[in-house]
Amino acid sequence: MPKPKIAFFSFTSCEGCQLIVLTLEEKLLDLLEHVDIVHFREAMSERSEDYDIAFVEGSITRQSEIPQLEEIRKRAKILVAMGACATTGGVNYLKNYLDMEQVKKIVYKERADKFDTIPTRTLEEVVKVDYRIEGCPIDRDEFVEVTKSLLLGRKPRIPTYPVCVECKLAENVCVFDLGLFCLGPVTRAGCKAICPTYGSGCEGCRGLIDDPNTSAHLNVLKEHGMTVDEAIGRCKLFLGKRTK
Amino acid sequence: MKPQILLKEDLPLLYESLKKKNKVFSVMEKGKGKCVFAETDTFSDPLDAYTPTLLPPKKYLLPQQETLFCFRMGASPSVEENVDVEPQVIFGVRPCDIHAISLLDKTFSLENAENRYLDRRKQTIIVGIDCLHHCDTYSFCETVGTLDVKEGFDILLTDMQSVIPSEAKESHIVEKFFITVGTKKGEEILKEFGKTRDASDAEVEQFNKIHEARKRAFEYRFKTEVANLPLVLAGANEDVTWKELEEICLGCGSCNIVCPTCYCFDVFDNVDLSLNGGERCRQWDACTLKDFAVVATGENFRKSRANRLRHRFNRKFNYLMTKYGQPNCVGCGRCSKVCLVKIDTVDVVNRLIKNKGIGNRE
Ligand code: SF4
Ligand code: SF4
Ligand code: SF4
Ligand code: SF4
Ligand code: SF4
Repeated sequence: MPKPKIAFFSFTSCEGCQLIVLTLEEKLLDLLEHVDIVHFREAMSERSEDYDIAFVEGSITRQSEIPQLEEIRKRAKILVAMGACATTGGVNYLKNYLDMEQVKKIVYKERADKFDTIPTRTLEEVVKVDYRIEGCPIDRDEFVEVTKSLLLGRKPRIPTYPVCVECKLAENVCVFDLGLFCLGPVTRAGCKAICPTYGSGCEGCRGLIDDPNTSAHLNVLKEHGMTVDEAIGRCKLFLGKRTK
Repeated sequence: MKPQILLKEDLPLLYESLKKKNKVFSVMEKGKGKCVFAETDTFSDPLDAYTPTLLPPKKYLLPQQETLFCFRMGASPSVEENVDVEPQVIFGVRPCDIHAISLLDKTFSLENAENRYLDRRKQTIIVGIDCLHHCDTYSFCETVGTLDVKEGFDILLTDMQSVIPSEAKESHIVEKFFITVGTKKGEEILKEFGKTRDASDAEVEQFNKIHEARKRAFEYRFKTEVANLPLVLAGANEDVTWKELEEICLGCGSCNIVCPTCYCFDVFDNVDLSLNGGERCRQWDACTLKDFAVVATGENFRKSRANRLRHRFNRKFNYLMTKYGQPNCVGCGRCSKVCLVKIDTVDVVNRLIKNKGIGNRE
């Protein structure tokens, strides 16, 4: 059997998730035993339009990106959305709370009318996505887990439970007890609760779990002294369109 | 062996002597007054200022995550068990947690022997520390009968001073621990340590008095006898309480994860990058989580948070209680304490009792 060909693509993002893949180092080499990487702008100059699995990072924020993504979808057998920008809109989604003309003025000032911008869309809002790797940035181990699972033809093991589970397993002092705020109870685990483990509240970068009790969570934030506006502001950072 | 007396100032020496042959885990503060069991260099148990540790000592018998075995596939498949058991001491285990370990012992030995657990258990020495005052507003050990502990430890230390502080001040008695010896192993430890002496009759009497007196410091918190709970739960399937909890429960699993008697785990394979082998692992699971009761076909038998909580309470005070003749809850209060939406175990049980109209205790 020929090795599956994989390609990496980047839309509006900091390209940090691709960098995370590169930091896999020796694991990446092991992976190359099983796959051919045919397109990876961060790491190589050759390009190929023939691939089986596409890992796509970034959100869609310009009209011109839509046909590009559609083209990738057409060619790839499997499309994996990689990172918060791709899966929830991530930080890019913040502009959707403003008017697009206003956004352009803020970013490009007097050159505003030279640029095209549309409200941020997640990849799923444009094409069908087969798998998601959440996080800002993604967790290396989860990237490996998804890739291995695709190669083995089985479902990746991605937590459906919230960050609190991993946080409790790590025996952390809950950051609410430290006087901080946390989105852990409604955010998908998989990051090993890294933020609470290092003493700061979860910002929700891995997106919501499937059945979050957001109203109960909002009450928790309020009881610990957050105003509703502050709480919503906090959720807007990463929980993107799902905050509404 | 007769009960022993250990001078308080010699406690760190006992700790040191155990360290010679074993890994020793004891209680230390992790911050904000929260304690954890950890491998400590020197003895640091906050003795009097104790609240139940964030995670129970169960983690040394059934680790949060562990590798069961390694496997290779291909032409000559193989399986190699992962053995990582070594002699260990858990130092400073409280009565509730000793009872919890005894419950786990039953769980993992009665029907299907779980050898990983049992092997670790055999290699574990438990040094208990008695509680003389109520540790925390959330706990209710006396209610479920776990404050008194007769077995499940190798030795149990009881502070002979902190009960009657006013008397202690005037008295010229040196500060000391009364040691109840629970097992042969416990006896051996003390013999080898060699710094304890037999308790005098007067000291035995003092110890008994302390135990009698401390009961007054603990209140009974359920509105009916514990023995009635299976009946209460069995009749409460449609109780309105569950609907109310559906609204506020986060389904976050925290109450399970911190519970010393919860033992459910998930098993999964971690295939290595050769794609030709890997590890079979297990990790604590939690019945309040959404996917806990999902089966291979995708069906979820307990879709709502309310159903999952109802199941958890039934496990504690009905199903397993009926099986073992005692609640599968030792009243440590950890679950209530960590619950961000303040779902309190005693409170929930009392609501069910009240709704059933059989409350007979104040
Ligand atoms: S710190 Fe956050 S993630 Fe951890 S237990 Fe508290 S709320 Fe949950
Ligand atoms: S704790 Fe929250 S913000 Fe931090 S990495 Fe995990 S999901 Fe992202
Ligand atoms: S009862 Fe509390 S701790 Fe347990 S799952 Fe519900 S919200 Fe989480
Ligand atoms: S149910 Fe709660 S009180 Fe009972 S043993 Fe578990 S954590 Fe402790
Ligand atoms: S619940 Fe009871 S037995 Fe457990 S630590 Fe508190 S006082 Fe001691």
